[in-house]
Amino acid sequence: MKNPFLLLVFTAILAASFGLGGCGEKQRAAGKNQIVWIKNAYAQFFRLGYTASDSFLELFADENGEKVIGKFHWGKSSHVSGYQPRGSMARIVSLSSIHTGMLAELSAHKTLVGVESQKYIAHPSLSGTPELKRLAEVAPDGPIIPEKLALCSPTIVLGTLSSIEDKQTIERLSLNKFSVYWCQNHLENHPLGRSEWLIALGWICGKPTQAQEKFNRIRADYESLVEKAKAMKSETPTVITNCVYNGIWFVPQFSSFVSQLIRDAGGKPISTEAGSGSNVISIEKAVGLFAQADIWINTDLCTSLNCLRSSDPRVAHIKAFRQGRVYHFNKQLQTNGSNAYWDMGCIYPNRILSDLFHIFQNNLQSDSLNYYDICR
Amino acid sequence: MQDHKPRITQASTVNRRGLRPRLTLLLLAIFGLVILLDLEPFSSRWDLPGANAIFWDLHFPRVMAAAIGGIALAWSGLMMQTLFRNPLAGPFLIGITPGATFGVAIVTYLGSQIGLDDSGTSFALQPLAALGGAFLVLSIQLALHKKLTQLHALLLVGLVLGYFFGAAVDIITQTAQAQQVKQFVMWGMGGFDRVLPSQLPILAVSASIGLGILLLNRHAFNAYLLGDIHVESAGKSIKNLRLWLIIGSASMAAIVTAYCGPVSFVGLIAPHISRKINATESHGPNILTTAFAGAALTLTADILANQLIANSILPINAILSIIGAPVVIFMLARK
Repeated sequence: MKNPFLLLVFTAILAASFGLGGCGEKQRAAGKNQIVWIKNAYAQFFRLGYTASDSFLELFADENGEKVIGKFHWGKSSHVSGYQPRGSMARIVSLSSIHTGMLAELSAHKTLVGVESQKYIAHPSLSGTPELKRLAEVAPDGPIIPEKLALCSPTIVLGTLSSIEDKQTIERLSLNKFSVYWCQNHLENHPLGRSEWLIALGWICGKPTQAQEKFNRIRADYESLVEKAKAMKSETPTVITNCVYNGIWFVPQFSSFVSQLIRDAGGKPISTEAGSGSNVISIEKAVGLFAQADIWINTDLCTSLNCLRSSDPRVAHIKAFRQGRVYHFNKQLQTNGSNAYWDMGCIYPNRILSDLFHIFQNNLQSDSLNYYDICR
Repeated sequence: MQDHKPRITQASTVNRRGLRPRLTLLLLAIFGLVILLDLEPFSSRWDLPGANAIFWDLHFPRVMAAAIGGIALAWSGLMMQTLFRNPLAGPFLIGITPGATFGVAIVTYLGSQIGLDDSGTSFALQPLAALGGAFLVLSIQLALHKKLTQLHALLLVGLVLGYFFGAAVDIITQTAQAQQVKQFVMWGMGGFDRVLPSQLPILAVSASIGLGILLLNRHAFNAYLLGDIHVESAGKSIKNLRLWLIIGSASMAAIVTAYCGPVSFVGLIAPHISRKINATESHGPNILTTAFAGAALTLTADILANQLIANSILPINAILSIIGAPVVIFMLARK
């Protein structure tokens, strides 16, 4: 899909399949036609496929696509063996502020009837609007409240597999009542992989073309920034992330989402191991490892140097701290706890990348940063 | 004075008073070995530039905190097992940990709502809040101990307070943000890395107070183990003895919990190891060996936590539980 011509062809097929859907002959088996699977540019936890008459979405629990956790179809065929129908998009419940943001980004938020919690939604189309107040909160302070979810009478539920308790609740309630899409976008290691889930959400809410176009723009912007960062002649700064919690420091591994963003923005992340998770190390090891780091980002809730010093005064051994090159991502943190960095940043990783690029180049104009700000 | 000392002859497990020199020396050697292994004074990594500051500011305080914390928790456990005359009692049985956890939950989750400007202040206040919560429980226990003549009533109050503060923490957690939960969970995992050099004297003072109480009352505590009548016949007050046991045990557990987070099993196991070595329940010899056993346990757990997996640290409580559970079961089975 790196060829723009191919991209255009697939977009056209996609649009045609949706344009023709809903009318015409029923009970046609898709088996007659081979499914053409689209190779995603970055995302690994879903795939879309097409036949002349139908489109298909498969969701995976692992990055190799070996464990399928959802198979859906939509199109002329009323029944396709092994695939569930997409489900009516009349009443959607979203259990992640990122999915809610993606639906809002595709102007499909009118179909929402419930969300996990209103307070973490930062999308400008919803945050602080009467529209948001209208939505039921099905898991406002922890696990899903089954009665609240059932009262929403959803046709589609967008969930994640991060809580076994929630998974069991949803599966118990869903029997023959609504379709459940387990979206594992949070497991994508590449920032554009997470953003590419716009296309999956676009398929679910019936706006595939719009989603594809939006992702293409984000991707083009992101990739041009990567090229720009590569072309910079300045020295590559070493970058550390997170902060100390009671003597413990979480260090993202080399292939993690954050490390990828740092590399793409022209920095060199200090990590302890390959892999896409994180290592938990002691403050002693962290200080030894990070002593010469040039820049410190993602200081969690801390927005000041004083806060970091209070959490553990021994962070003063780190060069970035002594030189005041410490940045937090709470510029858009609201009093209710919502932070656009988490959901809008997932949809638009190019904006995070732009922030990091400016930080690494030490080019900090007052309006150059979207989500980041310096710790004072 | 000799006449007033209780004669410890009635119970076979309290009838010896002396240390067993060879076994005590072996325990001392183990303690010396683990402190050396944990401190790594001859490691080449201290030759690197800037490593000297890391050694004195981060490494040394961690090892010392493990050693002092282990000693304090072990003595706390010894006193608690004496108080309840029960070998399964531990320093957290009277609700100290839930009280400390409640204090930490208040500043971590509700910090911004009670006027703390940012999470850094919450971090800095965590030890004080833990102390506050633990001493709140201690005050309740002290206020009630004169009215509660039965030991099991004291124990029940501890359990009930534990449930009460645990429930309060659960309710407060419901309102928390994800990052606050992370902070709170990290505190609950326990560890010695978080202890600052300036906090070591506080730990040392708490252990010294505990040692003072143990040394001054060791004969009376021996009599107490044999039954109330032995204490009274020695001219001592049961209520006062219990008061000292509660104050000594709870204050040591509270201070270690405040600065290191909840550290389990040490207070339960160390007195058992000590009694096994000395073959007596008499407090005199057990004061020294309980301290060595407690420190050796926490130092071993600290070494394993930091060195078992490269580029990672394991939760100290998990290691202590893995070491502790089989030891306790083995000891109970042997009895």
